[in-house]
Amino acid sequence: MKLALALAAGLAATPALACGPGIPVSADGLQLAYRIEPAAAVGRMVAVEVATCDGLALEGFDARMPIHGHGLNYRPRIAATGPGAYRIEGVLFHMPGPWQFVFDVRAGETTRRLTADLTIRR
Amino acid sequence: MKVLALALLALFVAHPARAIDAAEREAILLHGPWPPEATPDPSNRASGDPAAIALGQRLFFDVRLSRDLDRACASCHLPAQAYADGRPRGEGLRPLDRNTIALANLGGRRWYGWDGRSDSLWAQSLHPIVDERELAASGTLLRDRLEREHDAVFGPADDDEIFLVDIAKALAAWQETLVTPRSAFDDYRDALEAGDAAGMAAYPVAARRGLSLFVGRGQCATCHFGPSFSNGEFDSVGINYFLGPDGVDRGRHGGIAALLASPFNLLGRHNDDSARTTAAPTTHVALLHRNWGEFRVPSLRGVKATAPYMHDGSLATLAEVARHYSEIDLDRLHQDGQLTLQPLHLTEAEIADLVAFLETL
Amino acid sequence: MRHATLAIILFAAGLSGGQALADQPRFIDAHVHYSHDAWDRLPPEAAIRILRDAGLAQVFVSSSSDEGTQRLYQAAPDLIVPVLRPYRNRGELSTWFRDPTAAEHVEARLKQYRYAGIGEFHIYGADADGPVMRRLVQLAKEYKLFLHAHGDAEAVRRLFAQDPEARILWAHAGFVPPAEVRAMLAAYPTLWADLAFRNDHAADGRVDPAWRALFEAYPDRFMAGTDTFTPERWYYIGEHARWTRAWLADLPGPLAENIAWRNAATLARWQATP
Repeated sequence: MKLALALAAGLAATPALACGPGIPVSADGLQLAYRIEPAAAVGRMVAVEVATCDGLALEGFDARMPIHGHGLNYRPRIAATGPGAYRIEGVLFHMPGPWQFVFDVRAGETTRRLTADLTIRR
Repeated sequence: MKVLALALLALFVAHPARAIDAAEREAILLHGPWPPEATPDPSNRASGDPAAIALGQRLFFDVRLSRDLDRACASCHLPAQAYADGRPRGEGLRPLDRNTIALANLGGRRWYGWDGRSDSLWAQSLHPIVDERELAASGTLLRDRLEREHDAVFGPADDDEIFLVDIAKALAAWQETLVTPRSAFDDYRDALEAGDAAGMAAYPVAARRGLSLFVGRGQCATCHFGPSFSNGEFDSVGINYFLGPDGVDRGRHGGIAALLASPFNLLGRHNDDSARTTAAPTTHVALLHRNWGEFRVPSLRGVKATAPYMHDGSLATLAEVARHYSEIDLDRLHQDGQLTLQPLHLTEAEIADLVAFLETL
Repeated sequence: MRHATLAIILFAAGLSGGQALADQPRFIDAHVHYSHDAWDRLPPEAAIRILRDAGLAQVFVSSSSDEGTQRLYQAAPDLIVPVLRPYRNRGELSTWFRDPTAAEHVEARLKQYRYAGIGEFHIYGADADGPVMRRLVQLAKEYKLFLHAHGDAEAVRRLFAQDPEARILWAHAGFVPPAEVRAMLAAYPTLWADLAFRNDHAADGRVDPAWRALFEAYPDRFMAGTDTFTPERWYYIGEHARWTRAWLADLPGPLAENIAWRNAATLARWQATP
């Protein structure tokens, strides 16, 4: 029983596993997963690896600090690295605290914005 | 459990007025350890090389780097004044627009100068040599005067520009060795990390209160982040940036323009690192409206010795700096994009605490 | 490559600095303030010189206090489009909508001088339904003026609820993403948006694809502006005009002209006589 619950919880918490490794982000049935490489730290330039589901195309990316009202001091660039796979270079968190990733994705003729909250501690 | 209770008790004994919660402890620990591990600059083949370091040190004090043989780097970066000059703004052959930056803890930064116009310490070291207001020399002039010393370290240079860059790289190699020593704050921080109550108790109580303000309500550590007390970026903090009667100091906006136009940036031929491992910030830096009138978030290490303060030296003391932030004029900042800075309305006692803390760095 | 292009633009900008820019594409700057600290530092003649050097056809000016706008308008009535700010000094930005004398001030100035709009004022959420803001919406209707509103979408919706025929210039396009701007423009046919202090729509002379689609869908609604929120930023007006002309050149000619000046000129034509 316990095992079954754990399995169910595991499945529910990782709906994006089918797209690729990373932290799942979803809204309105659209899904992607992202990973930060190397590990995020204030003042370190990192890349964000994105895997999208169901042929979703990644068209835009930004990172913002909503409580401060500012974004990045650097302009990330998106490169497609394979089917549903993208690498975003040039992300540098210049302050600790709550950040938000913004992914603009296209599904057919509609574009949607997915957001993911993350906290940079150090 | 007992151990934890004892540790908590020890904290109360050390500072009976207050305990340290986990968040504050984490925030304080982020400002160390110190000193950082020295890593060579891959863009500079002279970095870490003893012969180049020795040459750089000699040249820093050598008037042959100036056109008129009358001044050296050390004429403005005075060793007895933390390699600054104590003036509001620098004085070269002509008056300069900005405060002379103290030289310490320079290795591994993304940007150099108040406007970040250089992406390497060697490129920044080159500017004063050729600036008509400072040393007013040139690669050709330096080659005539310094070829023997240069060639002994670098071998012959293919052209005058490479020669000039090599000299700047030697200067950088030496400046990288200038590191502020461990401070009373570092001792406190390490004692906190080790749970050493006696070590923590040695830290002045006023400084400890100032530290709480710094990492807490003051939110100073949002930008003055990490072991060097700077996030290495640029911001507008409400300081006037007019220049003379008819102009302004463009700050970071001009810095980015100069960086991208410079043959000495890390994307150019003088970068000794073919993999361009440190060039990503230059590739990705964004020119933004808000860069107009932004200036470097300076490191606060050794800040007691580097008065006056701000990009134009307009604030004479650390207390004035604290008062400036405490009563910051929000009308000078844009409503959107700068919600970090809010008036703190500190009491004079709190300002004294903040200064006491800053003086321990 | 991207930076090489930018370096060339910046280099060219440096070369052309100070020259008359009469041959530059026509451009109206829709977001300039000339507040007391600016006119202390930069007398009207010097300020007008900056605007002319930037090659601006017209400039929407609103100031804290309005005295600054009037000084500039008197110095160059062909250039200045006066917009009436409810603030008597810069410190009123977050308090004015609770101060009945702000509305009285606006009413008195409207009787005395000519304006094209009321603003730029800062208003968020339910504050837009307060009596002071309501009075400004009524005055705008009465004098046939546009409202230059800096605030969130909710505040803009509340202003339109008060007067569905209001003409609103949404400062900074609300700093919201293009999809939200699109939804607002679709909902309100008399909503315009300025792009002041935004960087997301263009970089290095290239227009962002999502914004390009939005400009193409609503070619009559956008305009550009500097936002001189401190006096030092007056020296950014020329740089901003160059930056804007660079990305406008990435759009088809008629659309670029609309955003550069035609849309702003349309709003400015509602200039009323007392």
